[in-house]
Order: sequence, then structure tokens, then C-alpha cells
Amino acid sequence: MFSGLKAMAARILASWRSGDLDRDFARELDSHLAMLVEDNLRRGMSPGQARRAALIRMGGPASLMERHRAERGVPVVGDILRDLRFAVRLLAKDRWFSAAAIATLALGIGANAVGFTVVNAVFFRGLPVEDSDRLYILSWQQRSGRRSNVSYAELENWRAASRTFAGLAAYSDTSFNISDDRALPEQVPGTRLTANAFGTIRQPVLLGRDFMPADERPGSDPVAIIGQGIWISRYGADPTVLGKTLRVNGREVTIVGVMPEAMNFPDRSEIWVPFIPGGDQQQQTRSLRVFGRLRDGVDPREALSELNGIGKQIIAAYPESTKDLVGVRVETFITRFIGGAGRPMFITVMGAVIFVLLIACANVANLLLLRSVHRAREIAMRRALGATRWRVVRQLLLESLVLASLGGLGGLFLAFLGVRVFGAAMQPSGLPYWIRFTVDPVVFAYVAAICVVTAILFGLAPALHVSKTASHVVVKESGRGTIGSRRERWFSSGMVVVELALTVVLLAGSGVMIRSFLALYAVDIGVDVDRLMTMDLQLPASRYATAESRRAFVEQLEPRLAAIPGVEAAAVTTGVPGRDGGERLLETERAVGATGAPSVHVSTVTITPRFFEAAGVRLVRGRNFQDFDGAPGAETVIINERLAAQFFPGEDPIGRRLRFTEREPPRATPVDAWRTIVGISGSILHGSSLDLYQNAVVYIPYRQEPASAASLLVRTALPPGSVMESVRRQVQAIDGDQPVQAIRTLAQVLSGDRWWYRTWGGVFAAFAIIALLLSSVGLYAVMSYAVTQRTQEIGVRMAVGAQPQHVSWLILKRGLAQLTAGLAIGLAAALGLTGMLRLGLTDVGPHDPVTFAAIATLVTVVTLAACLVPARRATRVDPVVALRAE
Amino acid sequence: MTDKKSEILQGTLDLMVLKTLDAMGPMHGYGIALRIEQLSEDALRINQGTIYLCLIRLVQKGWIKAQWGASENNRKAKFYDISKAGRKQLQAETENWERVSGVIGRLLQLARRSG
Repeated sequence: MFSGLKAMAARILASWRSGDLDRDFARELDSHLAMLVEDNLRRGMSPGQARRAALIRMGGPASLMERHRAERGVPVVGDILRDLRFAVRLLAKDRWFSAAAIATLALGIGANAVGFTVVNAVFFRGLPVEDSDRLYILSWQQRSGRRSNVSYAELENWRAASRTFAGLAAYSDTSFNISDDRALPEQVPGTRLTANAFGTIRQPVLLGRDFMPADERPGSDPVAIIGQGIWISRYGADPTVLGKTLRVNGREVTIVGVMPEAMNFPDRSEIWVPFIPGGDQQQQTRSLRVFGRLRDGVDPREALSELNGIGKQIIAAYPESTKDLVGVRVETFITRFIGGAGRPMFITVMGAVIFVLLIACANVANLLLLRSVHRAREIAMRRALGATRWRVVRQLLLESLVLASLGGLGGLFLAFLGVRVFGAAMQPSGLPYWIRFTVDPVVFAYVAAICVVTAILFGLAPALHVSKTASHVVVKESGRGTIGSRRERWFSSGMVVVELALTVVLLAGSGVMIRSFLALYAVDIGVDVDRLMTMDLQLPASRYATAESRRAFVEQLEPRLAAIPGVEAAAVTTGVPGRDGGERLLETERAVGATGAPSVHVSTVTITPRFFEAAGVRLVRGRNFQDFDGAPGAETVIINERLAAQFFPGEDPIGRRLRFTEREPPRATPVDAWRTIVGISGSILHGSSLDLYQNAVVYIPYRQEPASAASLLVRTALPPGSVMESVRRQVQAIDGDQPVQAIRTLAQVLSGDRWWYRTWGGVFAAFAIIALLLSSVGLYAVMSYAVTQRTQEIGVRMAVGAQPQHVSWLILKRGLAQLTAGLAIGLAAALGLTGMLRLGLTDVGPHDPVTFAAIATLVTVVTLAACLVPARRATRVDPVVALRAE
Repeated sequence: MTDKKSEILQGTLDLMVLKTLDAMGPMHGYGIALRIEQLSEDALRINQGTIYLCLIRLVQKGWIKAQWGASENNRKAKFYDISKAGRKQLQAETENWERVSGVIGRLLQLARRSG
């Protein structure tokens, strides 16, 4: 009931401001009593009588006050709130201690919140649409375990048969050249999708309308929906954009809608057009990603078994075209796109931030313990006056909770900053649009939970420890409170060892990660990247339908580029150095004869003859491509040294023949013609991911395979920026709709490709620095406190003639023991843990000795410094002062 | 006093206070106590101070509002006034009370006749 809730809230509030309410009620009773007395006097009583009678009639103020308190408040809440106020007062008094603890916790919790934000964004949040957990991606499962896209004909089949999905939609990612009379043509990532796609994910448009079934009928007027990015950059966010026309791949389309900000479904799209199934061939090509929304109340497993049933029927009906398919996969977007490679990374990040938090906790626990010595008398007094141990523990835990909450607030603030920096660092990445690193309510809940957990983690041990103290021990003590000092020293030493061990593990883990990322990041690709410029070239089928037209474009373009002053060489390729043009299965002529011949995946790159000149790489043997290479009858290839070594060890590959094949070639495809090796090139690393860098490469003449998606590679003598405009002019002189943008140096392209390594390397470096900082501060605090505590003892020793070195050694000894224990435990744990960090990426082994040695040295130096400074101070203590120290 | 008895008393007292404030307008605690003593004709013998337990309860439920002001004799006193929610509650409670007392009354009459 509403009034019940209201009353409860009022009661809790009343417990908090009990003092004010007491005073208010006392005044009220006073006024009541005064009026009663007045009335009594009027009735003729003597003042004494009047007062006595009034008190009897009203009831005793003290007992009324007690009952009033019980009536208006909640007894336990009242107690806790009193404790809380006490805690806040104490923490405010111990300003420096509190600041140190809160800052430490803020760092720990902040790092944690950043880590969790990332993990949350990648693994849990999903698409930013209504009920995104009901959206599933459907794909074929191949015999090889890989997924396969779906053809339009199959989609129609699934649509007709499925009852578990409230609608199946599909998309196919691509990029479009867009142009109009307003601005320069540009190439943007875009998507073709079925008309029901946005309806299925429940993504409304910002302006205009969604696609309609009529839009996807063959022969209908072409329409497009644009993203907010294009809307702003090309139309200045003009609301009358609807109905305007835009050329997409050279074809006029009408803009019917605008999507809201940061909506780039399914990946990074800026523009969407309806998928219009064309002829028979397009219907059969498996180019679509199919997704759907589960009907309410349907379990995903139900959907999976239904789809598998439907899939089996299709496989049975079309055995020829489906022979490598075994079933259907039904997965969430997260599983589909993140599973695999990202997972260990994010889990590792989470592990690292938890280590940072544990180190922070160990630090604060130690601080609390040191402080508790000062409080021993207070606590002993409370116990002596009858407080139960539980009551004392509760009080101390509450203080921890206050610290943790304040630390959490600071942590949230740091997290906001950290997430922003991290988000900016991830900007040039290939992450899908729905992964956005923002602090959301889930993160808040996580931070709140973390606060409670840390409060218990760092607060419980010291609280139990202190509260155990027998009261009589301390009250007798003189004030410096050496309560059970042996036990306490053990505890404190234990925390230092734990902290050291945690730091070593974290540093070792981060170190190995950072080293491997650096190794990958700095990998040499075999060319001088600073003087190479590249630009994507997209020759859309609507304008360049035939191989001849594409070849003609390129043949026209190359001499024009080469004529630009400052340009030394220009070529067209499907794989600029650092990237490749696709993997294919290769077999050599000799191997075909042998049974069980090995066919191996190699990188293939299509190039025009001046590619090697532009890249600045020499041919090791044989000749370069000529203009006639690639013409029918002149099928030739150039291979790289690695391929030569792999397939033709100890022989001359020139003149030998190879061809490409497929594991299970589709019926229609003719067998690839034999291609003759005419040259061997020096090594350039190609590969779409760095894992493939070591691959063997086959170069194919562009004349033979004029790809519609390729890149320009231009070598300049001048700074690349100065020739960009000329390149733009030459390209558009041939085709005005051809976008020329994102002309970048190869160095820029590569750093974009390697954001992953750079970013994670940076993240781990940041965690490592925070951890090192926290534990150095912690060690220093504990060590110097230990010295302060022993001031008297040191004074006595010095007074009776101890040498400074001897005293220093006394202090150092304990630090060294802790260091040895911490290092031993930490290194052992680190060896075990980093073994699990094998991310399959590196030359750097998980037990990289260099990293381990560096970390052991670093931790030793920091610890020794933390011991030496207090030790030196100890020897300077004036014995007289020390002896007086109380 | 047993708990049950006090519960009944509590409910009755709440209703009486609400009714009093509804009928008489804003009053201070002393005034309310006098009024209830007068109405109950000594059937309800309680300490006057007990009225404040009832008042704070009603305030926390949001049925009455309290404000410091000056009494007839220009003495500082806390005045209570019934709120909108309080009026609604009073009406509901009154109907409830009438229904229950009607039922009990008929029951008792029946019992008397048959007995």
C-alpha cells in the first residue's frame, strides 16, 4: 500500500535525524504540559499541585519520548545509522588516512569499472534495440565447422517453413560509391537488406519511412535510407532531404529515410538499400546473413531444432548444392561476432582488473590495520563497556563500507574518463556499431556490488583482528597500543607478501601481453611504408559490368598517375603490403599426379605489372609481369620466396605450373587453368590478419582477374600529402562518380589494422603501472610505519651503541624476507598463469625470461627503496627523542 | 495492556483523531487530547501523551500534516491538520466501521432473539 511505503520511508528518515526529532518532540511536550498546567491553575490548584497533576495526566516525558522514538523509527536502522554517522565523523577526522584509502580504492575500482564496461559492452549488451536478446542470426553449418551464409532461395524456404520466428530478415554487407551534385563522391560502408530488416530488429527511423515490401520488388523505384553521418555531412541535417536523389554506385536512388545517430546496423553501415533478388544466379548465391526475432515464449533450442529440421529437408532436396552443409546454427549477435578470438582477450582484461582491485584491497587492509592500532584503546573501551564483538565488527565494517563507497564514487569518475579514453582509442577499429563503450546502469550496479565486496575484502580481516583483542590488555597499555603486536606483525607481513605476489603476477601477465603486442605491432612488412600511399578503388558492377571495362579503367588510370610530378610508380592491387587479396587452395602440377597430394592455403594478391616497382621490392629470380601476362594462353604467376621454399625446396620453380582448386568444387566451375611461374619476388608480408603474415603468396596479373574491389598503391618522392589532390583529379577525370577519399599512407593503414594490438598493449601497460604504483605506495606505507613503531626500540639500541648500519639492517631484514616470499610466490603463480595466456599470436613465449627478469628486478628495486628510506630515517633518530617517544 | 487490545485501541484512536481534525479543523495535541477525553466520557482512559504516538503515526502515513504555530494564548504549539489522503482514509474507515458495526449489531440482535 502506498501509505505503508510512505510510512516506512518516513520511519527510516526519522531514524537518521533522530536528534532533531527528539528536540522537536520535547518542545511539543513542553508546550502540552504548559497548557495543562495553565488549565490546572485556572481551576485553582497551587502551582506545585498543578504541575504534579499535569504530569500525571500527560504521562512521564521520558517514557513518552522513548515510546515516541520506537513508534516513529526503525530500531536496527537507528543503530546502524548512528554507527554510520560515527564512521563518517571518524573518517573525516583521519583526513589523510581516508584520502589515501579512498584514492587507492578509486584507482582499483575505476580500473575495474573500465574493464567491466568493456566486457559488458562486448559480451552482454548486444544490439541497442528493444529485446535484443530475442534476436538470432541463422547460418548454415559446414562440415568443416565454419559457418556459411544463406542464399535468397533458402531464405524464402526458411521463411515459409519456420514457426518459431516472428519474421526472418537478411542483409549483405558491402560498400557503395555515393555521389551527387553537392559534394565530392565518396565510398561508404553500406548494406543491402530485406525490407523487413529494420522492423525485425525494431529500429525506428529518425526521419521519413522504413522500407516497404514494395521496395524490394524487382523493377521498383530504387530507394535508400541514409545514416545520420551522411545526412549531416552531405545535407547539413536538412529535414527536406526526403525525396532527394543520390547516386549510389552511379544509379539514381530516392532517399526515403534517415537513421538516427550511431545506428550503423549491422556493422558500420552508413547507407541502406533494399535487397532485390535478381536472376537465378543471385537467388542461389549464399551471400546473405539471415536473422530473426524469436516469437514470444519460444525457447532458442526449439528454434534450433526446428531450423535444423528445415535445413535437413533442404539438404535432402538439393544434395548437389548443399553437400558441404550439415545443419543450421542459431546464435545471438554476440556469439556470432565476438565468440572466438575476442573472448580470451576480454577475459584476460577482466582478470587483470580484478588483480588491480585485489592489490588495492591488500593496500587498504594494511592501512586499516595500521590505523586500528591507534583505535585499540577506543575499541577495548567499548568492549569493556559491554559492546559485543559483533557490534564492534559491524562498526568497523561500516567504516570500510563508507570508504569503499567513496572510493567507488571516485572510481566511477575515473571510469568515465577511462572509458572515454578507451573508446577513443578503439574508434578506428573494426568493431561493430553495437559495441559502444559507455558507462550504463549495469556498470553502476557492478560498481555498487564491487564496493560492498571490497569493503568486506579489505575490512573484514582487520575488523575481526582488532575486535578480538581482550579488553583488559589494552586499557592497561600506555597508549601506543602494541596490542598482540606479534600477531599483528604477522598479519601485516602477510598482507605485504600477498600484495607483492599479486603485483608480480599482474606485472608478469601484463608484461608478456605487452611484449607480444609490441612484437606484432612493430613487425616489419618488408617495404618502406612511409613513402607509399594507398586508396581504395571500387568499380561497381552497375557501371563496370565486364572485366574489359574494369581493365580499361585501370589501364587508363595508371599512366595518368605515373605522370603526376613526384609520383615514382603507381600500381593497382588487391593486396597492398600488409594485406592480402584472399586465401586460396593451391596445388602444384607435380602434386596432382601423386595420391593424397597436399593442397595448401596460400595468400593470393592480384597486381598490375608495376606493383613491385611501387612497393620497392626486387624480384629475386625470373621476370616481372608484362602487359600480355594474364591474357588467355599466357596464364602466369609470380610467387614469393617463402612459397618457393615451401613447394619447390632445392629446385628451380621458374617454368613450373600451379593452379587453384577448391576442397569441394561446385559443379558449374570449370577447373582452373594451369598457371606458369615466371618469377620469384622478395618477401612482402601480406595477410588480412597478422597471424597470416608468414604465409606463402602467389601474385596474379590483374589482366587475368580484374577485381572490382582493389587498391591503388603509389610511391612518391614528395611528402604523400602533396600529391593527394593530383591523384584525386586524375581519378575523377576518368570517372566523375568515382570517389577518392581516405587516401592514406601505408603507415596509416597498417596502424589502423593493428589497433587491436596497440590498444590492448596500452590497456595492459596502464594496468601494470597502476598496480606498480599501488603496491609501491602500500609497501612504503607499511615499512615506514613499522619504523615509526620501533622508534623507541631503535632509540634504545642506538643509545647502547648500535651502529647505524646495524639498525638499517634490522629494518631491511624484514623487508627482504617479505620480498623474497612475495617474489617466490608471485613468480610461481605467474608462470602458471601466463601459460594460460597463450593467445596464439606471438614469438614471445608465455614464460618469456626477459619479461620475468625485468619484473623481478623492478619489484625488488621498488621494495628496497620502500625499505631503505625509512631505514635511513631510523638511523637518524636522536636517541633522546626516541626514548621519550610515547 | 495486551497487544491485541492495544491494536484495537490504536485503530480506534486513529479514527477518532482523524474525525476530530476533520470536524474541527487544525488543532494542537493538547486540544485533540481534551476533545477525545470529552467525547469518550472516560470510556478511554489513557495518558494524554499517548495521543502523540498516534499523531506521529498518522503524520508518517501522510494522513495528517503538522506545523508549528501560536495557540489561543499565544503559546508556541504544534498544530495538526487532516490531509486529502487523510480525508479519503477517514471516509473509507468510516464506511468500514459502519458496515462492521452493522453486521455485529444484527448478529447480536439475532443471537438475543434465538437465545
